[in-house]
Amino acid sequence: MATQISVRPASSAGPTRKSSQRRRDNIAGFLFISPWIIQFVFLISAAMIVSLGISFGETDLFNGYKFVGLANYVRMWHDELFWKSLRVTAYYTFVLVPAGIVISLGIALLMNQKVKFVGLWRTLYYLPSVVQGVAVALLWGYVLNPRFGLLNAGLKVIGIQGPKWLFSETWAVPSFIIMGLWGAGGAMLLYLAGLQGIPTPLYEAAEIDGANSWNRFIHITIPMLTPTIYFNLLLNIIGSFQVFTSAQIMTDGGPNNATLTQVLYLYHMGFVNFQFGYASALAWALFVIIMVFTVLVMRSGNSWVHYEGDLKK
Amino acid sequence: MQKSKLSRRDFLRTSALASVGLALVACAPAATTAPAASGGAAAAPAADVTTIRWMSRASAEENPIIQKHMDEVFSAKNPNIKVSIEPAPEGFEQKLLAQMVAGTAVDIFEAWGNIFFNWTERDLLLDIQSMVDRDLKDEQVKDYNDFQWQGLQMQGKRIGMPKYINVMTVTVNKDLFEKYGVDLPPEDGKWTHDDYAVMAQKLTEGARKAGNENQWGGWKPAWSWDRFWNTVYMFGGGIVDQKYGTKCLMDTKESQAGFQWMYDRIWKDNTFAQPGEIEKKWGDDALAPGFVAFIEDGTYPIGRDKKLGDAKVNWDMRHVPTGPTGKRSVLGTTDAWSITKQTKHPEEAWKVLSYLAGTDFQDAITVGLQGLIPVQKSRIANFITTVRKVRPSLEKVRLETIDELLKWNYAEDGFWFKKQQAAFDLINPALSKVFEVGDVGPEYLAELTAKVNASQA
Repeated sequence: MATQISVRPASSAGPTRKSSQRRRDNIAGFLFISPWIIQFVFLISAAMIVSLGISFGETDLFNGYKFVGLANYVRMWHDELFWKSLRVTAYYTFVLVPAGIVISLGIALLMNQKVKFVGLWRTLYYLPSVVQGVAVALLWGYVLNPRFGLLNAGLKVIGIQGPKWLFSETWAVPSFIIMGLWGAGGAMLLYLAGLQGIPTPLYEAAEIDGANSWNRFIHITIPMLTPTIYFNLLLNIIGSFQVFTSAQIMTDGGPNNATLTQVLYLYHMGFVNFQFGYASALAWALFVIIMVFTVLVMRSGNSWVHYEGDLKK
Repeated sequence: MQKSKLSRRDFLRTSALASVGLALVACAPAATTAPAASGGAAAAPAADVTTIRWMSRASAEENPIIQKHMDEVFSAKNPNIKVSIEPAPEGFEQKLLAQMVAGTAVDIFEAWGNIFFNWTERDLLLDIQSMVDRDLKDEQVKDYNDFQWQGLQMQGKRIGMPKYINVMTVTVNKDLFEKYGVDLPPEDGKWTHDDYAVMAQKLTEGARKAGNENQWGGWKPAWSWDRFWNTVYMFGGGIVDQKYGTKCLMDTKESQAGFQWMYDRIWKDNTFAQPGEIEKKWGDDALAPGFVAFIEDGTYPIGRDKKLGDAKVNWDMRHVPTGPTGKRSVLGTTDAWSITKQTKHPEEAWKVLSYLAGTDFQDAITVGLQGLIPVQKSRIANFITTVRKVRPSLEKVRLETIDELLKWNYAEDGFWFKKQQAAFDLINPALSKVFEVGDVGPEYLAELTAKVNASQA
């Protein structure tokens, strides 16, 4: 298939003007990203390099540094709490992320319908995602209260005796997962944008071919939304592995370490136990874990993410 | 040929140079205060004044008043010292830790128990024993309470001066006692844990008979690290064999009896509220809405009277009951002011510290502004008079209990393992499992003893 390329007529002033424009664009681009570059080079990457060095040693940051090689990593391997925190974090991530995708996509589909006051509905569903951190943790503390909480009151109405949520080792992580779904409105907005970017002729053509709404959803909507799903999946996996605030504020890892997430554990090791070497090793282990899952998702993206106009390899 | 575009490499190189330059400028030592210009007759002798930085955890409303007091009263007596308050109501530990690592720590800060212990282990606090020996008279030292004075002696160092007193008492909602026809605990403290259990049972039964399913007799935070051990002590048990000891005693018969008593009240007969039953409310927040009829909690008369007064709760206070051994024990906190070892002005910081723990500051701020119990035994009577003047409703509250408690000397400063943090990491989650979740009994704590012992090796 021939590809049409529009070619601008050559002129003597052309290349100079073009390179000058390009230079201005480059400067503008670099200036826009310079705060991030400066922050990354001087604050983040420097701290990362230092923490990598610390992870091979024993230090409380006050009384010197003793190189111990891989001892912190070996200790981690034998540390029950490390494995427990990994299980807690993985459980949280691998339930919350898919559930979050399904729920936010479901809401986006509803919000994409032509209904009255759709702007109001969209705002209402988006609003919770604006409230984050401490406020959400406190609010959900009330919602999840076993005796007086809204959730158990709702369950009681349909004849179910609700669990003890944050006071139960079994139900504490599911409580956090339910709480994590509170922010589904943020992802909903992205899915909504994705849905509205799907060309209508695709649906019209499918309808003419006799496709019902389920087929249109499976064969048009989902494939066309895969870039958005991919983006959300990646960011949510990275974010969920770093869950900290809610666990610290609501349970501080309890009951009986049932909500001891990896970041909370490394925080305790560093800032409470003064074992900054081990805490740094835990941080690097978490970095590697996140990196592995990120790479897996990125690699798998080639096989399931559909970019319109993209050429198949 | 003239280079016509800015390459990524050029840009990064330029940015890096600029950033390094900025960083060097930022890291350069700040210009020291210039001496007064020659001939500047009006210039103050600023060079002679030492500024002591104080990280204060007081509230945003209190800090300006405290700063004014220090400027007007303390600095008037000590013109060569200026105190500068740096507010840190939340997250002060992390903030101070970061300052210590950076070498820019404040001179004075305030903390308590475990924090002091961890920082003393790392030699981050100034040992003020020599200054105490030099400047304080015997009667001044004897005027402090033993549990605080001994508690602030950690690993052979005196690491701070007492800030205020918080001791545990039983606070009762008199209206609920009257409503359910239950006698208040005796004022003279002559009652036992059997009486305590019966009282909780009668109150809970009264609530149930009145159709109230959301009310319990009492509340005691047995799942909390610093609130469970006193019951164990009163039953003749212990947590560790000695101060900075290595042998855990949670598996002894006596200790288990103490744990069992708390477990039974919370989980067996449920006459003390489970945390999940009362929204995990703490102390006054459980008492004010009427979830419970009494609490075993700290003692803040002004703050409590405001909160419970707003909730129209008619309250009073009593001694905790004695255990089967006849012993009575409660937590007396070691809240204190301390000097960081990084201070460049130890003498001036000590002057401030000794002022804060002295009677002038205690009367004016600790009692007068904050309504807290002062650290000197001799000031307790004055405290009671003052707070009753501030809040006449306290006339009906038996504040004399505090005076008796301190005279009877049964407040204690918790327990200390040799490796306290290691013990905490094991015992704290177990307390949560036994008393917060309730799916295992106190035997779980007995089984943990071997692990705790191993952690101390």
